[in-house]
Amino acid sequence: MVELSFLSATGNKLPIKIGNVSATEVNATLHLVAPFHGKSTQAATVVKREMGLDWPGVHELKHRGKSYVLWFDHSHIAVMGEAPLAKLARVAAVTDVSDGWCIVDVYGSDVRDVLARLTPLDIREQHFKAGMTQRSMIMHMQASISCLEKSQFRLMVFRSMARTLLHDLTTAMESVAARAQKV
Amino acid sequence: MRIECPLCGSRDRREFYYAGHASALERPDPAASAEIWDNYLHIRENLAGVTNDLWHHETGCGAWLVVTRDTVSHAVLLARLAKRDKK
Repeated sequence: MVELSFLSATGNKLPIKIGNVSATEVNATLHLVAPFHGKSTQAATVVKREMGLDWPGVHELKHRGKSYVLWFDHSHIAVMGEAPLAKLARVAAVTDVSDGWCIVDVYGSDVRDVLARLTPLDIREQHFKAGMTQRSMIMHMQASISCLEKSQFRLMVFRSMARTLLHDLTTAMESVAARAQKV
Repeated sequence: MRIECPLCGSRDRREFYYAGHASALERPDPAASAEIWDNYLHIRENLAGVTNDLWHHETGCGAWLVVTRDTVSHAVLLARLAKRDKK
C-alpha cells in the first residue's frame, strides 16, 4: 500500500505554550478494534502476545513505549502506534482512522484548570488519574480525553474539528494564564 | 440533571440524547397485525410516575441506555444498558 505522509490537522499551528501549559500535536497511527461476536478472548490474547499489553477495561489506557491501547467506547478499543493489525483482523473488525482524528497532548502544572473550562468531566486528580481515559465533550465536540501523567493529557477530536479545538484550547489556556497573573 | 451511565459513571445530561419511550425495544413480530404495529409505532402512554426511556450516550461511550425516571419528581432512578433488554 502507498505510504502516505503525515499532514498536520491543525495546520502546523502547534506547539504553543501559554502560561505554564503547552500543547503539541501528536503524529500517530490510530486503529479502532471491535472484536467479532464471541472473539473477545482471542482479541485480548493477540494484544497480550504481540504488544505485551492487557486488554483495556472501561476507562483504562495502557502503553508500552510509544504503543498505546485504550478503551474507546462501549464496543471498541483504540490502538495507537505500532499494532499487530493482520493478526487482530482475524478476530476483530479493525479500522484505520488515523486520518479521522486530531490528537493533541496538553501538559503543564495548570493543565487541569484548562481542561476544567472545556469539559464537564470531573478533572480533579483523585477522579481522573494517570492511566485513565474517558469519552466526553470538549466544548461541543465529541472527544476522547486520556490522562498520560499527572499533568499531561491527550485530547482527541474529529479531524474536521481541529481548528475549533485549537481555538477552544487557546482561549482556555489564555484565560487560565490571565487569572494566574492577577492572583 | 445527571444520568448514571453503567459504563462511564455519573455524567452531565448534555452528553446524552433522548430517544423516546423504551417500548421501542419491544419490536413486534414482522407478521403481527396492523393494530399491533400501529400501537408499537404510534401509541404511547403518558404516565404521571415512573417511566422507562431510551437515551443515547452520544458524546460518551456511545451506548444506548434504558433510563428509569419519575415524570412527577423528575428523579432519575436507574440507568442500564439497552442491549441487556433487547429481545
